[in-house]
Parts: sequence; structure tokens; C-alpha cells
Amino acid sequence: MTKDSYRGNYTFAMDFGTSDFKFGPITCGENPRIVNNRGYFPDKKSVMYKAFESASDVIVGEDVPLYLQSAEDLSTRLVYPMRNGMIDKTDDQAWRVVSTLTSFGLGEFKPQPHNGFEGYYVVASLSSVSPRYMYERLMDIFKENNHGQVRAVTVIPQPFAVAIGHGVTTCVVIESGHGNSQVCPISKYPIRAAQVALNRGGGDANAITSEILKDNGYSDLANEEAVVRKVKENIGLVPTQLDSAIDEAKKSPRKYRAKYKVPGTRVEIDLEKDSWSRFLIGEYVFNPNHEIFESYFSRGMPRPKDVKMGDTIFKGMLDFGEAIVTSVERCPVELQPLLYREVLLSGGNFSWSVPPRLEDTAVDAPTKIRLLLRDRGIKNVSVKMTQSPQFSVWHGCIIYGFAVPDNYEWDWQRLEGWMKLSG
Amino acid sequence: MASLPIEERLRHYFLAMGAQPNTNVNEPQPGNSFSLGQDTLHLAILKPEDLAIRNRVIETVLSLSSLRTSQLVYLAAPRLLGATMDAGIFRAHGIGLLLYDDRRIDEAVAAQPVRTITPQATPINTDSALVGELTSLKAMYGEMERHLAQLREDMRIMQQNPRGSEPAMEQIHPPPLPSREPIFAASPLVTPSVESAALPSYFNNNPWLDVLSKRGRSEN
Repeated sequence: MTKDSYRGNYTFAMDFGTSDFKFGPITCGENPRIVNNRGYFPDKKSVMYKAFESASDVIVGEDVPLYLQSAEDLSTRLVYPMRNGMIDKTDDQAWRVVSTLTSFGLGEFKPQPHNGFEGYYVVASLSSVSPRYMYERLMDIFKENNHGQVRAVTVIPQPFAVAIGHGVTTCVVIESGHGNSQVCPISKYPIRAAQVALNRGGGDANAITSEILKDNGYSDLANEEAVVRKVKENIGLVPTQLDSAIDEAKKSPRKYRAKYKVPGTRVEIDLEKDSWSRFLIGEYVFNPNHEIFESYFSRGMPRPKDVKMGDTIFKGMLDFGEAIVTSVERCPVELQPLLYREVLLSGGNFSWSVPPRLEDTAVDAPTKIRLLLRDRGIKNVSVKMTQSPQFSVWHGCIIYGFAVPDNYEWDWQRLEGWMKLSG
Repeated sequence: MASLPIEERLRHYFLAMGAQPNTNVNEPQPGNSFSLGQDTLHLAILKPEDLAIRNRVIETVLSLSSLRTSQLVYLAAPRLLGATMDAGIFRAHGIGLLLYDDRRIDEAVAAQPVRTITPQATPINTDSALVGELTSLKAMYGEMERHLAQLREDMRIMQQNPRGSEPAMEQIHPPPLPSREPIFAASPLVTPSVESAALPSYFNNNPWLDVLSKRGRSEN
């Protein structure tokens, strides 16, 4: 069996997303297995824990709901390790979840014995702003959990994997998750020195949705994260231009009426004459600098701050257009037009739809980015959503694992290559 | 929410997932059947009182199992059942398990469509897109061979009729190009041609295969 045909069967990818962990070997085809990227630390005194003799200290995968107890416990016992894309060096609970998920993922695809299996080529993917210690810790986890199942392992940044999965070798990838967003130029390699990180993501859109719900008399719902997220997804709109969209919506409140019924409940949210505020939700994601948001900040909504995590400064108030321009302008001038030619959007925070009859005032995410860049004089731009937003990172990891030569060894300077664990 | 009957709560649960109710009266359980993308989804509901009836649980699971040939199947059961059964059994057979109580519905096990994903099974599919691509590659190869033949002919003519100002022309050796392998067969790691029939669609025409297969060469 040649190495190519070997890796045609035994390349394995793991995408540690903010909410979901996607994993599986190349033979999964188009779609990997998905479980929530979370772990539950059960109360060992509970009846449920005792009922399952084989229960481990950390529960991951589909079994988590079986162990969940009171809502009060969730905040301390249910851990989402990658919520902000990064794990603190000393956050042992989060690292234990990552370790358990890694073992779980490999354990779900144990090849049958005596079939020539010599270990998987594993490609794991982390946020592009992950500091070096996260790479080191993840490599250690693979070494600790390797029971002959891993032949070699590597870690690549998620935007790089997106570009590979999408089949574009020179581009700018913008990955926007729950807690933060990253702008990463790619030209055959990720250009790490030009990355720009934003301390803004889907969670901030939830925050302003929550404020809008409070203002409209739904204070009781404003603290329920799941409901707020559903409201955001169902009534939030991205305006072509915020001021004119608000004017239009105020002139025709019936046309723009924002109404949402929570499925399976009697709860119905109706913003009535304040339905214009649905445009604030989308605008806030792309550009929080409009003066209208000041009233929310002054009433206590936290303003997205610049924060330093690891070696990276996450900008709070930088709009997406400015972030892309800043990132691209850190690259050689010759390369800049080629980068603008392919801007790829990835992540759930870019899933904005335009309802029928509102096409004049509302736009999707690629159009909004194009408009923000046009405002900065960048015109020859192509902005696309990734073809398979949920799985493009996993696809990219599989291609990387399949194609990179076996003798390309891991290098801590360039953070690429294979770290051999066995064989 | 708890005031609604469980059938209605489950209907809302699946609608929220993006499923559409199936109205086909020929379905085995009209009202508990949904379309989810390209899949058909069947749901069987166990109520708390069913747990007390002898054989009801096994009967329900067996009836679901018989529907599994071509669709997704889910068993919705009171949360109490979760404490007495190992969810792994459902996962092993691809049957989805929803556990509910008065407040919540949780997916303990996701249903799996019928398909084998054993790592060593790599069935060779004759995908029409792939066949189309091979045909186009074959045509490109034929075209390239014609160009090479034309180049050889041009070279032969030039060597036979050297112009006065170009005496060095005779010393020009035939270019190595015609003796080379076609470019798409030259890269050792981008030769999934043997395997490509089994590779997923996102490998098709992906330029990264070529780029990544050269990693490490420049350093060497």
C-alpha cells in the first residue's frame, strides 16, 4: 500500500470550533461527525452519575444531555472550552474537555485490527489567534492520548483551512464566531503578521438584541440566551445604509414589522412601531461606530473593548471594512489587489438573510462587506460566503492531511508540518 | 410550553430544526413523519404511561427499526427512560433518541442515515461529475499531444532551413518537453488518480493539492 492510498483512508481531521467539534476520517466523505464542543463535569454524588457505572470525570458527545442537572449547575459544570477561540494556559477544566473530546473523536473511528492500519494522519484546526502554547498543549494531548492510533499530527489555523477547503490559494478569510472575529490573509501560507483580530462576534449581536428586547418590554426574555439568539436570527437585518433603512422602516412600519413566535411556546415577540430597530442588530456586527449605538452604551450595554489575549490585541470597535483594509495593507503592495479579489466569509455570524420585499434596504453579509470596502475606495472586490460554511474547515484539514508530504516535519517557527508520534 | 401535548411540542421541535411535516397519508405514521432536507424522518413517541405497559418499549423500538431502511428515525421517550438505558445502543443502530420532561426536549442521540462509514471501505463510485472531469482531462491531454506534435514539426522545419544569421540553430537540442511526463502526472503526491474515484468532491480541481504537495521541497 503506498502512502497516498494509505492516506486516502487514514487522514483524520478535527475542527475545534467555538460551538461544535467536527471530526472524522477522510472516509466520512463530505460530512464529518459533529458534537458540541463542550464537556460536562458531573456531580459525582448525583444519582445519575452513580447509575452509569462507566461514567468518566468529563462527559462529552451525545451523552451530555443525559447528565445535565439543574440550570444553576450549568454555568459551572458545563464547559465550552473554545467559546472565545482561545483557552487560558491555566484553565485545566477547558484543557481536560479538549483532551476528552480528542480521545472521543479518535475512539469513534477505531479501525478494525489487522487491516494494515498504522495510525491516522491527524490534522487539528484551531483559531488563527491561538498562541503558541495552545499548539504545544494540543500536541501534548495527542502524545498522551495516542494508543497507536495516531501516526502523525499537525495543527493549522482555521482561516487557512477555510481557504484550502474553498480551493483558493490567495485570498483574505474572515472567520467570525461567537466571541471574536479574525481577518487572515492567505497566499499559499497564512500571513500571520498581517492578521487582525476583532473582539466582536455573534455574542455582541445577541447583546444588542437583548437590549432591544428590554426596550420593547420583553425584559423577562432578554436574559435567556437561547431565545435571544433565535430572535436575532429571525428578525435581525443587515442594512444597506443604516440611516436610510431606519427612515424607510419608520415610514412603513407594517412592511418592516418584526414579529417572531418562539416555537412550541405561547411567547410571541412583536416590535411593532419599533421594528426599525431590527436593523441595529446586523449593523452592530459589521460596524458598531454609528452614533445611535452610543445611547445603548450610555445605558450600560458594554462597549466592545480592545483586549489583549496571548500576544494578540483584539480590536473592539474596528468595523469589518477597516479591519480588512488594515490587514491587507500589512501585506506587500503587489499582493494587495490579488487579496481583495477573493474575500471569503466563514462562520455562523455571517448568516444573514434578506426577507422578500426588503431587498432595497437589507443586504446579505457579502454585499455589506463589499459596501464597507467601497466606502474606503476599494472597488475591485469579490466577496463570497464559503460553499460549505459549517464544514469548510474540516474539508481543508482533510485536504491538508492528504497532500502535505510525509517527510515535511513539524517546525515550531513556521508552525507547520507533521509531528511524528509513531511509525 | 409544558401545557402543550408532547406530540405538539415535538412537532415544534422538528419544525424549529427546519423539518417540514409530511402530509402523505400512505406514511406509516401520518403526523409523525417529516421531511428534513433530502431525508425522511420518522418519530415514535413513548409516553410516561407506556413505560408501565409490558412490551410497549420493545414494540416501539422494533417498529422504528423496520422503518430504518431508508430514513432517519427518532424515539421520543420520557427522561426517566434515559436513566435506565444505555444511549450507546441507540447510537450503534443509528436510531435517534429524544428525551423529554415537562420543561425540555433534549437530543441524547442524533439519528444517522443508513450508510456505512467504516474507514477501510472506499467504494468506487462512478460519479457523473468525475466522469465528466476525466473526459475533459482526456480531451486536454489529446489537445496537448497535438500541440507537441506541431512543435516537433516546427522544430524539424527550422532545423532543415536555418537562416544565414542563425548558425547556432543546429546546436539547439530538441526541447526536453516532449519527453516529459504530462504535468498533472509529475507531482508524486498529487497522484490521487489511482484513488481519486474514492475522494470527496472538494478534492476536485483543488489547487491546494499541488501547492501543499510541494511543502518542504524549497527548504531541501
